[in-house]
Amino acid sequence: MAAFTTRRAVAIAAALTAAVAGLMLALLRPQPSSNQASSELFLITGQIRLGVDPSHAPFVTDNSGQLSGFDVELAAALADQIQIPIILAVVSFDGLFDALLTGRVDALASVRSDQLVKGVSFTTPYADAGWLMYSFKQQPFVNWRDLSGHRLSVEFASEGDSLARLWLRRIAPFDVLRYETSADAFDALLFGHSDAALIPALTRLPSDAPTEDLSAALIASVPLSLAVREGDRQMLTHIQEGLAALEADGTLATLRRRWLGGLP
Amino acid sequence: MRRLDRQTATIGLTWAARLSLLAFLVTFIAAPRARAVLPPAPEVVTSEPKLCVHTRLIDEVFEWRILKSLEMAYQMGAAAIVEFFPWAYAEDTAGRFEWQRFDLIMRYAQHFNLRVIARLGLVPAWARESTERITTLNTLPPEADSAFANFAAQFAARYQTQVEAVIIWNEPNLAFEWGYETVNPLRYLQLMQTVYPAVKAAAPTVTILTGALAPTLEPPNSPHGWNDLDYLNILYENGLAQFSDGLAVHTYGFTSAANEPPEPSVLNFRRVELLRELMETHGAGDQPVYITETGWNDHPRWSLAVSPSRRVRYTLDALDLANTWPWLESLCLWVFRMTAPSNSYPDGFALVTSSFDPRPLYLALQARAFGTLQDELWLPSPRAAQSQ
Repeated sequence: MAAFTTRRAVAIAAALTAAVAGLMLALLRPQPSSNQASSELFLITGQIRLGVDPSHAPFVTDNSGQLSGFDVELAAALADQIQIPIILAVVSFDGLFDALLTGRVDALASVRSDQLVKGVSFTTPYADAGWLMYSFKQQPFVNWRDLSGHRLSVEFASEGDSLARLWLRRIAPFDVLRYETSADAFDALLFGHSDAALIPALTRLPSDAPTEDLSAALIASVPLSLAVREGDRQMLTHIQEGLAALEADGTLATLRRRWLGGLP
Repeated sequence: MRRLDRQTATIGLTWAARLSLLAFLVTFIAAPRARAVLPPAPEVVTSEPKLCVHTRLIDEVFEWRILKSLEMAYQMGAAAIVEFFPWAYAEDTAGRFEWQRFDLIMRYAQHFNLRVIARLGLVPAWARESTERITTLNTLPPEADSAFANFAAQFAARYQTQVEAVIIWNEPNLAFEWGYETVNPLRYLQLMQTVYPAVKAAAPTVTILTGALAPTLEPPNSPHGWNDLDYLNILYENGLAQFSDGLAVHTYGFTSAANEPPEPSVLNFRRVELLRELMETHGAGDQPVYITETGWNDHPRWSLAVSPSRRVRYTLDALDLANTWPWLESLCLWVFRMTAPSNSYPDGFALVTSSFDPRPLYLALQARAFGTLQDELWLPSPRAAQSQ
């Protein structure tokens, strides 16, 4: 039996403890997904397959196989900008992220980027599908806390209605006028029935809306971005730089004006 | 330096073991679970005795969330719940039953005077072992029918004072619900022939319902499923009425209004009337129907969803229709609350958010159940009023 020194005994004890602790940590650590698609596939294929949901108007609509909408024009502009062909691939809404993670597509267009999805990276948002509070500039409402004593029109049972109910519990009372549609809620503002209207940011305003007299405040944000697999860093960089260039030269602003709602 | 002997080595190893044990125990440190405190027994009675919600309590980790869900269901005016009681949870080992989780749900439901309609299914691993191919939790080999019947009988006997009805299996006309076996109505009838007498003998007062069929237009021999009307017709032609006390039904409105007339080639809310006609045709007209899943979805991104205002309107109209059907016992809305948000279209079915915020449909149903709902849900269109 070999002799031990006190220092050696303590060292062995510490080493054993560290080994056991390390083993336990290794066992507790989440394992990487084994079915993750191979990254940077676009470098081999030379193209980006962009998943789009044809039920997501005005981003994509399918007219007898002919796709049109914001995402379609964004894809074309982005392909020109980054000099990589972008092929549109139709994916149903509930299968978008599965299609990306299994490698059926390389990227997704206009998906929510405020909800974390494992294995997915998002670009900087380029559009917002949240909630806008419209009012007239002569009596603008930019914060829901200013609503006390005033009238707010909303679509009955919508997310905007839920927000109004929540605010009523937090500030002095205000009148909530509920309508069947967001269009009616906006008309209530136009025709003087309400002082502010809370409607989805993507609502297309009626042609007779005096847009120059209106103010719009983003009350609840639902940012939309392009999504790629977490490991596809080069593609993310390419797309991100392309989007930045399109934002800088006004292309994205033009597309937003053309396809999405809101004020000019 | 002083030389040490075997005793010192033993001390070192002992301390190593102690520290390892301590490190191991540290990994178990977790916040204490919140305890549920039972509120006073309710006194108000709903005016909508057919109003029911499908809950998802069995996978809830925290007891207080089960209690909170049932309290909110009661406060909404629901008179009953549908809840899933998986066989695999109760009998993880053959012959050894674990009822604790089920007891909890039953106790709280009873506290809030909520009738319980129990869906039974989900096969434990030991009951699937005899099959040669890959199985799923829905794979039920015929040789396991009697074991499932035994579970159903034990369940019914244990909860016969709390449970109004048991539903045998879920959507048996889908391949998915049979572990991707070929869909075969006679195979399901075989199961009912085994389960029905066992449950009846154990708990004669409990109503035994035929599993709700998925509303689908799939043709015979489809790998996915079988048209629900055709499937039910075959069941009744082969004697289902003798092995069932009633029919559970899943009927969704999708994008149609509640009162849209039924058509065999259309999936809409009133499809339940076609299923009912089949019951009457085959001499089961004296048996009740329970709609155990129904509703509309208001998710902004789902192509089969409707606007939030229409979702409320259609659901209230469905309740009105349900009250005109004497053969219908319950109208159970899918789904009261999801344990966690899916961040996808299934969230659009919920009445209450995962964080227990009531959605407007919940408030509208509550107003209906307690007599405070206004005649008009929304104001008239300002543009239409302006043009008049």
